[in-house]
Amino acid sequence: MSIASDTIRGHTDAIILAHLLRHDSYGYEINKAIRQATDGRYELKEATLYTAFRRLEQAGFIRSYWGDEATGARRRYYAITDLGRAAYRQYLADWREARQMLDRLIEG
Amino acid sequence: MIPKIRAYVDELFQDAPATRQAHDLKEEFCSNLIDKYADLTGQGVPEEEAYNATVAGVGDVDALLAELQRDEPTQEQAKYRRRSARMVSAAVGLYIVSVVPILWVGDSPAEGDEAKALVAMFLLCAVATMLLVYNFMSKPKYRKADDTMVEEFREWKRNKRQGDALYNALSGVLWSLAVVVYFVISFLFAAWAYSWLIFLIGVALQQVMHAVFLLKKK
Repeated sequence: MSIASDTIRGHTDAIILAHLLRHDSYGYEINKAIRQATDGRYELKEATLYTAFRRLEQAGFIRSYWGDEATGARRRYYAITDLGRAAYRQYLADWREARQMLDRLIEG
Repeated sequence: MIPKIRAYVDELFQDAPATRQAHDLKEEFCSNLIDKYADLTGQGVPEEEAYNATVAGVGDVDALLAELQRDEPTQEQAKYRRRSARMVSAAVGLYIVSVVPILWVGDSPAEGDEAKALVAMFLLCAVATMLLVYNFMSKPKYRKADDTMVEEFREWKRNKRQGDALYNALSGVLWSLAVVVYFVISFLFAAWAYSWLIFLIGVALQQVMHAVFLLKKK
């Protein structure tokens, strides 16, 4: 499990970008999607998630806007930018390459 | 339980700077934690358990908060800047006003009036210079944002500059004092033949001050 959680944490940025590629979203929804996709075995710490949001926003890969919830606290939504899409494509290519290499290295 | 979540986030952010970014981040935390809590209770998790699970998922926010501190000038710095602006403008004002006594005495000075006008000017200059010196000395020290060499260098540079500024301010005081004392003594005692020695004493004092600063640096 430690390999999985380390790897997932190491690719927080790509996971967020991949999620935002489908639709605009907010912190908890993204984390919930991660939990569901990993069958409840994994989710990000809030601190990790928001650090990644800030990093991605500063890099210009995502932008944020406030929702207009009638009740309760306002949600901050994130949307992917064109720059973010390009970064995601690059990331995906890198990841595929790395996965192939790791398969060869570890499976022997 | 939702007020309890808000209280928890308040506590997390109690040391955060009072900036828009920090405020936004706090609100984002709140809304997402409340969402999570509502989701858990919606699935039938007992309230207490849901709260604990929500809070446990937050993780270590120290790095995130430290980043906020770095982005914005702290409140302390902003306060200092305002106070500093007031002091410097007051000092400049006093310097300008300091020539008024001289003008007051005007064209027909009695023997004593001239010296009185000079003393008044000297007093005004002294107050102005004291304001400037105090302003430099009470400047907040630059605090390292992290332990990297760049930050260390910045701290060193800032503190060095502060030392130089204090030295320059004191030099300014010394030489304006020397000039005033020179005129006061020369006029009062008609001691023009010897009063120039004051400037030599001034040089000596400046050297002493320089030595003291060097020693303090080491």
